[in-house]
Parts: sequence; structure tokens; C-alpha cells
Amino acid sequence: MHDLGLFTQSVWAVTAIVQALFLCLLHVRKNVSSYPAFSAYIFMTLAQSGLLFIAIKGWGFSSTVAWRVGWATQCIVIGARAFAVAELCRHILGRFLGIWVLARRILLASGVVVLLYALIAADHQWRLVLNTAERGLELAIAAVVVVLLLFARYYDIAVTSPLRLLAVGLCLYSCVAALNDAVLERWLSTYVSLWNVFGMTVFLACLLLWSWAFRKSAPQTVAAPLLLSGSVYLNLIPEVNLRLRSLNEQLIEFWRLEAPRT
Amino acid sequence: MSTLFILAAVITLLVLLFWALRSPRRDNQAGAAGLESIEEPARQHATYFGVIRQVMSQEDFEFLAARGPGRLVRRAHKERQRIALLYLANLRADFQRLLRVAGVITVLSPEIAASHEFERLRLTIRFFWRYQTVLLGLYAGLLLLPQLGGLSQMVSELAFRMESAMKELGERAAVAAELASTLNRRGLDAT
Repeated sequence: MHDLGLFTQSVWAVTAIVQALFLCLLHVRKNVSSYPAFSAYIFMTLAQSGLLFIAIKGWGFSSTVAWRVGWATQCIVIGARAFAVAELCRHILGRFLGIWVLARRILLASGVVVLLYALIAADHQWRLVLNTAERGLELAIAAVVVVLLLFARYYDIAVTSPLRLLAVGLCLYSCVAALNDAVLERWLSTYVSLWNVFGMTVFLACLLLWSWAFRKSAPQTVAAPLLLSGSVYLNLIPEVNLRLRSLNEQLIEFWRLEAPRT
Repeated sequence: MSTLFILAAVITLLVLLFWALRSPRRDNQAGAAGLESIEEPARQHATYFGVIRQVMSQEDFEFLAARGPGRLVRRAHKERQRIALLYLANLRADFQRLLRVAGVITVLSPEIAASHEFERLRLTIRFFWRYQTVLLGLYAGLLLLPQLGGLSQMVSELAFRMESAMKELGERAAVAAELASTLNRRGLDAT
């Protein structure tokens, strides 16, 4: 444990305590049933801390066992975070059937595109394959959250404060994790301890943000919006688009006008 | 390269995140009136078409340029520019109202077509790009003021099209009423 340094150990301990308290808060406020994937994600991060503590205590920070435990649990945690993001998407858009079908495809596509691009941009450095994959996943998660919020904004769907804070926390942490991994890859030997502390501090900040977001219970049942009949969309939207196009043409006319000489 | 790519991606994502979290209604006050007032702009514009046509008349401007003092001609230019800006602002307001109507219909529809949605997104991006370009052209003097003489024709055409569209929409009064009540409830919040 001494390899970690006192400050890192302290931040780790504080983070673990906040994780445990946050899980209790989620349970007490009955938010676990509304956000099962997110609760599972927090639980897994706590379990990861525990397993890593045992591995480092028993075999040392630089041991192969600690490395394996670290990466194995990290894969599970990132997978859980992806499910938490999917849950967030469903909470924000799920009630609007038409939008949800379209959004699912776009969000999935944007996540896959970002992930693939990040992996390709890594220049096939297989020595750091896990690091590269993690970074790609983090970027994909952040991209999905951002596209989700852009989608909600475009369609003027109000996102309640807890969901906004949840989204901000997930996105910020993923961004920082991706950036951290990129820096780790470049300055591997000198950056490890700082990487640990920085990552943990940001996660701690996100935990506090989420604790604030879930300080109250979420409504257990939400009334579904009254949907229009399918024909309304098919009849009106092409007309609206036509009128939007005609307004566009009005602007083009500004440039087409001949300037009479006076 | 990889580090730079990640850095650029993260910065882009953070900027977009910040933009997405901004208050959505702040830059969209023109559309705030909602569906109830969807017919208002066309009616308001139509009321002043005659006056605008007169103000934009090419003959009047030529007459003024030939006989009026320079100061008066410059003032007329300014007035024309002001009218052009007002006209632009009204176009923008109409566009935003339509976008809002489309948004409400889309959000409350059980099935939507991706092609229509992408077309609207494309039109929206084009409109606001062109709007900024025309605005810049007007301020920079690239669009000569006498050119705006043709605006009367444009406004009349627009009025005609808007009136026709409004009539068609009026035939679907039941739908409009349903939409209006939905908009009033504005129960589009996610929890």
C-alpha cells in the first residue's frame, strides 16, 4: 500500500466512504428502483475499490495480480456505466415513442462511430490495447450523453435537474477519464500516481454532484404524455417542412435580386 | 497524434455539453407565443403589405434620388435598411414558430420518419446560416439598398403562400386545438 502514497490513500478512502454513503442515500430515497442500472454502477465502483484494496494490500500495487484485478473490474465498471447511460437515455426520451425509436438509433450509431474512431486513431498500439479500448469507451459514453442532451434541446424536451446532473457527472467523468488515459499513454512512467489521484478526485466530485441530484426521491410513476394519432405527423410535418423550405427560399431571394442602377 | 485527437474530442464534447445545457428558450423568444399565435404573423404582415410595398417602390426611390436632397436620400436608405431588417426578423420569427410546431408534433407522435426530421434539421441549419449571411450583407452594405425594392414582391408572395398554408391548417382545426391544448400543458418534461 505504501507504493500509493499517503495522499492517494486518503483520497481513495474518502471516495470509498462517499460511495457507500451515496449508495445508502439511493436506497433510503428509494431511487434504486427508478435507477437500477445507475445504482448497480455505483455498487460496482465500490466493489472495485474493495477488490483493488485487497489485491494491492496482498500483492502490492505493481503486482500482476493487482493489474489483472484492476483491469477486470474496470471492464465491468465501464460496462455498468454504459448501462447507466442507456438508462439515462430512456428516462429522458423513453416516454416519447417516436423520438425514442429515432434517438436510440442515433445514440447507438454515434457511440459506435466515436468508439471505432478512437480505436483507429490509437495507431494500433497493442501494448496499450486495454488502455486504448477504455479510452474509446469513455469517449463513446461522453459522446452519447452529449448527443442525448442535444437531442432533448432540439426537440425542446425539458430535462429535470437530477437527470441533468446525472448526465453532467457521467459526461464529465468520461471526458476526464479519456483525457487521463491519453496522457497516461504518453507519459506512462512519470504520470501514474498523478493519474490515480486526478481520476479519483474527479470521480469524488461526480459522486458529490450525484448525491446532490438524488437528495430527493424520484417519482415512482410518471404519466405518459398524450400522444397524437400517427396520421397527424404524416399529414402535417411534410407541410411544415415545405413552408420552412419556402422561408429558406425567401432568404436566397435576397441575393438573387438584381441591383437596379440609380 | 492520439493525445491531440483525444484532447480535441474532449474539448469539443465539453463545449457541446455546455451549449446543450443552456436554457433552451433564451434565444427563441420569437417562438414563445406558441401555436395559438401561429396565424398572427401572416395577418400582421398582411396588414402592412401595402405600406411596405409603397416604401419599397423602386419608382419612389428613383424619384427621390433624382430630386431630393442628399440628406433625404440617405435617410430613405436608412429607413429601407431598417425595414429590411424588420422583414428579416419576421422571417426568422415565422421560421422559429414553425420549428416549434413541428417539434411539438414530432415529440407527441408515436411514429416519426427520420427523413423528415433530417430534412428539417438541414433546413434549420441552412436557414440560420443564410440569415446570418444576409444580415451581415445588409450591415456591410454588400446588399445595396435599392435591391430591396424587390422586397415588396417577395413579401406579397410570402403572404400568399402563408395564407394558403393557413387555410389548409385551418381545415385541421381539431388537430390544431389538440396541439394547442398539449402545448399549454407543456408536459414534455422528463423525470
